[in-house]
Amino acid sequence: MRKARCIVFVLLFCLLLQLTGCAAAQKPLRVTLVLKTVTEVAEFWGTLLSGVEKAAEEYGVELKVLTSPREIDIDKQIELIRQVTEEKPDVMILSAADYDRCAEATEEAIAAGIGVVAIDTDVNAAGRACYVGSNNYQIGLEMGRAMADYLPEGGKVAVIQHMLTTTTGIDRTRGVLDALNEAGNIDILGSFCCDNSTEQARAITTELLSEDPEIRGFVCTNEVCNVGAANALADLGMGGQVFVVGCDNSQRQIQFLEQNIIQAIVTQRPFNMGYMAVQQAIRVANGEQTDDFVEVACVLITRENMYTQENQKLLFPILR
Amino acid sequence: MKERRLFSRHSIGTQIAALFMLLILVITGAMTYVSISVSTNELLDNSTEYTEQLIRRVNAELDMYVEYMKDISDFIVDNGAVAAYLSAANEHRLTDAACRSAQEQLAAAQKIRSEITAIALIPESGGALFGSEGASLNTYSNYRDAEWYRAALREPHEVQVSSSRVENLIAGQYNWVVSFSRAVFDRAGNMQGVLLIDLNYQIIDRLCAEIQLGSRGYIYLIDQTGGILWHPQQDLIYAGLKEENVAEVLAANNGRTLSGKGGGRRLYVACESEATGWTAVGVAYTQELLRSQDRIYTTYLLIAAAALVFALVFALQLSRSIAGPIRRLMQTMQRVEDGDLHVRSQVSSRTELGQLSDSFDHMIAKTAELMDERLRSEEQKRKSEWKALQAQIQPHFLYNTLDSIIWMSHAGRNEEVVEMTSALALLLRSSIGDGSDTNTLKKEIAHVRSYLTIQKMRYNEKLRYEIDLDQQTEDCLLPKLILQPLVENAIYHGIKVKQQGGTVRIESLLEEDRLLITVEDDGVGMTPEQLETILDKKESDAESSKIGVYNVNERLQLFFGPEAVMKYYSTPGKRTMVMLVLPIIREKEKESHAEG
Repeated sequence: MRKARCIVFVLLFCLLLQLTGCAAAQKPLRVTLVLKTVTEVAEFWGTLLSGVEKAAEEYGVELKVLTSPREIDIDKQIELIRQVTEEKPDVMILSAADYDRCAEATEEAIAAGIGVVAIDTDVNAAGRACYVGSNNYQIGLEMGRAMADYLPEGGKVAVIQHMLTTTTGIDRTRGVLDALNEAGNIDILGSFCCDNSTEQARAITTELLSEDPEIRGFVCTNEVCNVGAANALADLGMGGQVFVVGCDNSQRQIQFLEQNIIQAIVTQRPFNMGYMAVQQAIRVANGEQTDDFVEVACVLITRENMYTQENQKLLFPILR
Repeated sequence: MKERRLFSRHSIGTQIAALFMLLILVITGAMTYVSISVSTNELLDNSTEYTEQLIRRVNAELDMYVEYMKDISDFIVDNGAVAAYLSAANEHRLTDAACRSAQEQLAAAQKIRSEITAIALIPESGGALFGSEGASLNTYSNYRDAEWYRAALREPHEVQVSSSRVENLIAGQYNWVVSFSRAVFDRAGNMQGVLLIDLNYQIIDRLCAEIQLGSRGYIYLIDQTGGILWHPQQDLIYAGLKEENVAEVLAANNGRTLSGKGGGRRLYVACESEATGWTAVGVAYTQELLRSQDRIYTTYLLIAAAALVFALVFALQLSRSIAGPIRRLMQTMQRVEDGDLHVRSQVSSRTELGQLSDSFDHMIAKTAELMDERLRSEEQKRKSEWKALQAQIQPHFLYNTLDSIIWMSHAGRNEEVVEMTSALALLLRSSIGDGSDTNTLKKEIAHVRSYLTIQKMRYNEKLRYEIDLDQQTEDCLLPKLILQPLVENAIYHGIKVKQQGGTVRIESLLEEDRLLITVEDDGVGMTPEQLETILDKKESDAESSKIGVYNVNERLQLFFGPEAVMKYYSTPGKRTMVMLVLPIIREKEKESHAEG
């Protein structure tokens, strides 16, 4: 009888314990974001960072951001990756400056037990958990098709490529060329790399136009070369005479859109990209299965549809 | 046996306890469940009511604010400088002074509220005047196609409230705003232009932040078209990373929606404003609404737990109070079974168990008493049987008889010798008998007859006897050798002492359901003292015939019970009579009687 009473008391005690509840405080997840650059030149990265920060705040992630001063400074980024490996956060979100050259350092980080989520640009590292980004080839295709639509009678088109070594540069250019070739009547002058510099893009554009006034369009693989090309056309007073199709999203691009100097941009969603990268990072840290590629859809925006309810949300992300 | 008893004792105790516990568990469980669900519904109702009041307050404040904005716009429109600017602009005779004084008015209006990001005055003919210094028109803005502009022209006498939108009117600025627009007329009623007032979210932020819907609850606003006008997580909503169930909320007929599950279960209370066409939606997490319920919950459970503990103790006590006495009773029974009749269960309880114990104790006492009595009567029976045997033939009777035979054979009275000897033989045979302890009256009389034959030969004419037997009484059963001692007593104490001798008369008859047997003599009779003591054992010790009489009575009592009556009547010097009044037991009933 005494035993029975004991058992009953123990059960009641357990019940009370359960009621009061005693969830152990969880250690916050540590995530380090390694970006190519966050400068005035690339509004894209600022918005992406906002998305990362928003998600970090919402999910209670301890976030650290490391950036190289210039997007093309690959060695600096490799150095940053090694630094992250030493600090040993739970997850590293990496936007690789070079698809191949960053691979080794990234693999070292993976070997050290850090989960790696690639963002915007992929990295050629084995064991990379997940790549969150746009389908760059698709972006290229859409840009090429938009350009082909503007030139139903065909014409000469030049591609201005921001970098030769990153997936964004490589895949987008491939997509653009495929779409232009698909159209059949487009004369592709070639792709010209501007080393991710507005000035260089402007110079290339000006030079190409002076060499060959017949050029009917420019397709630009990122915001920087897009703005460069548009600047050149604005300076030359040729806005609206030559078609410019670009990608990414910035206020300057929007102004050029309004002015009809840029006809269309394929806009990614950098905010979403950053936010989703953190979501994936959390899944990686929790040991959950992640998709190899998490696509962030992109939208073609023209002067005509830029102020629709949906598109203005996209073009002007609210940052709180 | 012992194991079984142990088991049953456990089972009664635990069964009662378990049943009791189960009952209490079910009752407290049901009561707790009912109370909690009732209080949950009540809490939820109250919370919904409360949330609705809050939402109405937000709406009322927004409406008030919209009214206020209309007042500001009235103030601008009615201003002379503004009217002058518009007509000058439309007539293409704009001067710097007109611009400056109108701009001052706009700037003054803009400074009233910090949330006004822009005030723009757009003349019919084009161009724009801004309230803020240095702002210039974005010439590419294409405003004439914008909804706010077209709405102002469409309904020229109303102030139009836009949804959330990006303002691109000012060069280099792209801000999310809510716009108020209205057409402006001159005194003649000609449309002069459009006035635009842009507001940032500051005021809505403030209004909605004031409302507390728990730590996770929030408010959001839906515009006229069903799009989200304002949301605390507008960035995520607009980015498409989060969704709000606008359609479901707007479709709910009373403005109340419950959706989600578990900790994410939310209560949506929607309320539309007439003035703006906006719908304010309050979102509250039921978990938080029901937070106070946790306290109630804990209290209920504590009460239930206390009731259970109480019930357990009570049940144990109860089972013990039942099982204990039962065990005591069983132990007592076991000892009684083992032959100990001196134990008593002695359960001091007023319950049925106490009564049971009392009855049991009483039963043991009674049994012990009966056992004693049986032992005593057995003893007495044995004793009386021995005495009966003793009484059968007195040795000196045998000597005397044999002496008489010798004497008669010396005298050559052979016939008499034969008669006496055969009578003696009969007497001896019948007294040894067939081993049964009963005789029919007929046999008994035969025995007495043999005895009297012998006695008559000894006493000659001095002894006479008469036997008058009712035929119907012949097969009545009597204990063996009952009559002979009575006859012997009549001869020795009545007739023998009398000079002239006497007659012994034996009679039997049936009277109603009784057998009457009388043995009467007309001898010396008995004194009253003798009469009183004749059946007394002590007084009878001295003489054997007296022992015989005492013994007869005792054996009658043993055989028939208290129904048998034996009584002496005597008149001194005249006669003595002993009367036996006995129940009738016939030979055929003998077996059943023996069994009984």
